[in-house]
Amino acid sequence: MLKYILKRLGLAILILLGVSLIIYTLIRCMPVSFIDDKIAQLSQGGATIPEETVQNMKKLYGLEDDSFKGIIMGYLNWLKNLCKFDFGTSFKYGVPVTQVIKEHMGVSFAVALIATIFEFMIAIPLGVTAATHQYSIRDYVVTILVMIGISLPSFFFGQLLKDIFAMKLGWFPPSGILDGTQSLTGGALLLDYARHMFIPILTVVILSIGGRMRMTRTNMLEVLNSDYIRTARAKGLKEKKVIYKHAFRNTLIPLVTSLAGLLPSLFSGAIITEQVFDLPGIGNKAFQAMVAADIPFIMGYNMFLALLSVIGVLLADLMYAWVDPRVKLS
Amino acid sequence: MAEKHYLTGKEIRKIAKENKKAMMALEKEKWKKKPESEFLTTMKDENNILEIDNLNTYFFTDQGVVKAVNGVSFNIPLHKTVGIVGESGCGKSVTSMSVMRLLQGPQGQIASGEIRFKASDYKRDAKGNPIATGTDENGNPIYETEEKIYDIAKMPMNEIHRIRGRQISMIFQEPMTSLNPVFTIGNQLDEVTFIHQPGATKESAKAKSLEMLNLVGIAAPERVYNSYPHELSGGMRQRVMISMALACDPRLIIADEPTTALDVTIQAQILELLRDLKEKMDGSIMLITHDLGVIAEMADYVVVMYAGRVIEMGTVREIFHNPMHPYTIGLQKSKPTMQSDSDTLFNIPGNVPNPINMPKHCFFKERCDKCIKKCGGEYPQMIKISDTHFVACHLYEEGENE
Repeated sequence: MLKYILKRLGLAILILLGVSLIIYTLIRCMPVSFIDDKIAQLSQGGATIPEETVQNMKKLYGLEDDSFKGIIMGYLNWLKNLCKFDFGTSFKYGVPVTQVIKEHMGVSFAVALIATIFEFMIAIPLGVTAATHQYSIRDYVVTILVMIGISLPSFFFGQLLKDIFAMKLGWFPPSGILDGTQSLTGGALLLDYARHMFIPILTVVILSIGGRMRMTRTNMLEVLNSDYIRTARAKGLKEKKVIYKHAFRNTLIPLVTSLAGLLPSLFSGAIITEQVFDLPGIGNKAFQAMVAADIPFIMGYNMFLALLSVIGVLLADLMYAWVDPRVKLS
Repeated sequence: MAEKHYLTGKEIRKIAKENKKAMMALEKEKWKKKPESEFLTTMKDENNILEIDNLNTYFFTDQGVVKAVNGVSFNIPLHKTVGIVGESGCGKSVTSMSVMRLLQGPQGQIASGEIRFKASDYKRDAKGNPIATGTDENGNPIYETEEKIYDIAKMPMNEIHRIRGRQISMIFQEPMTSLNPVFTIGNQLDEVTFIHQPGATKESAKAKSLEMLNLVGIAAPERVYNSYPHELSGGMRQRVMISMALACDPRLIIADEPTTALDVTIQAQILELLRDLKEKMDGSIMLITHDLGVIAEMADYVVVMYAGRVIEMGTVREIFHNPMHPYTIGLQKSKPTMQSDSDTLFNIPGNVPNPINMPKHCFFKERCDKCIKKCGGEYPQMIKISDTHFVACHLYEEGENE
């Protein structure tokens, strides 16, 4: 087992190298450039920037050579720094990339974790009921509600909830993560965090239940039609036990596997939702950095996600072997 | 008459609407709680363990109602093996599923008929819990049993676990997929004891499971007990299935093509085992197969089914030496033999009629080579040839002898 994990981790380094090369190339192909943007901003007031300053700035940020060779050199340079665990300094935020990620990950992680827990807690029972009462009114109602959830875009639905709960009813603050006007401590601080995070979490949960519920329903239906469920019934087991012991244990296999696949999404932040509610999460920061062509930050952020994805896949495989005795890792 | 193959959307919707009404009514009835008195009944003949009386099992599809079992009646006498033969889709499995109430709802439903079964159930108090009358030398409670006759077709689903596994157990045709892949054999075997033996402990359940594994000829019961199904071969899994079926000393075992999915040498072993167990166990076997050889070896009585109806039944001797119905005769002829020099195997020409639009006349008429004028009329009644031999064919009605 340990040998298998080590082998997979070794492979992960190769994968990450490939990913970094692709991301770097793509970023350098983007039509926007951090320097051009900055120059444009500076010259908006009517001032003219001498060409020499522009060249100096490009040199400072390591963007002076746009040729193929220059891009490769830039990549190697980035890689060299990475070996020293240096992700570089963010162009936009002016602080080390790792610091930006560290500071803003907490909010995103809290939102995503709470949302995921609720998502599973609501979607799995709904999926099981829909499957065990297939084609009943219950099934149709659940399916229709869930389809509405899947089809709504988050920027629209988030805005809608914000309008209702924050603007019209005034129950929750419309944006931000903390009330800046007061200095709170202890329980009051936690409560304020909760109040701010409520609508974003609600948005994420409602929009993500659909997929998970469909997955549970489909798996459950497939399992319920299998021969061993018939055997379990023929043994004289009560229907509840048939569903919650024999069928559910088999439905869990793909669900547990998908749980491990969620690892990167826990940390990546909900880019659009964070925009809507102006949460200072990592998704929000990543979006702004992307618009500004902040190369070190985009590289650092994406590599962080790639690493989590690789670990997530490995975890999924390990969990698969754990829940399904037929799977042997070697 | 022009034959219609396709239904229009409007027709399908109309059928679906009608079906839904009938289906939901039956489904509701199935789950309704009833007092025991409503499904208690009496046997017509005390020597039978199971009496199926005019059973109709329908599948409600969007193309129409499929009458998979269409007025089937036969009996299973005590300590006897009854073989049910017929081609694929003739309703033999559906009959057995009806007896176990394992039909896939809401589409599959028992529409009418009686399935009378002589059960030996625990004496129960008003709440339905078994009454202990004392303890044995090991301190385990003893429960007295009493004979009760249930109409399984009327039993509500929340009572059916009294029958399943304990009174009637089933061996399925697919041992490869009939065991739950994520639980060990031991876990699945113990479960049967836990469900049906009140007061069973972990140790007693395990002891019983190991005893059962031993009984079905598994060489290393302890090892198999701790294995997962995928670690066993097909023959081993079928043995496990059989041991599971035997765990509670059922009065009736339904073996639904137990050897179909196995290779020939294993088939012989499993049949040997079943015959062996028949001597040891105190009950009857309902053996479903399309293999006439298996029937000849195992069964005492034979029921021949065709297109959802019983067309002939009798003792194994009568069916094999004196088949009456043209279909049974054809079936016998299509059996490969060593003596024949012929390169081609005999087959009955034609096809089974469409199960949705069954004709009024004999279902075998289009394929029969002995048709007489009367065959175009009503569906033939069961005609008594001897005390045990019955056939549904106009040829044998009085005054119709050739």
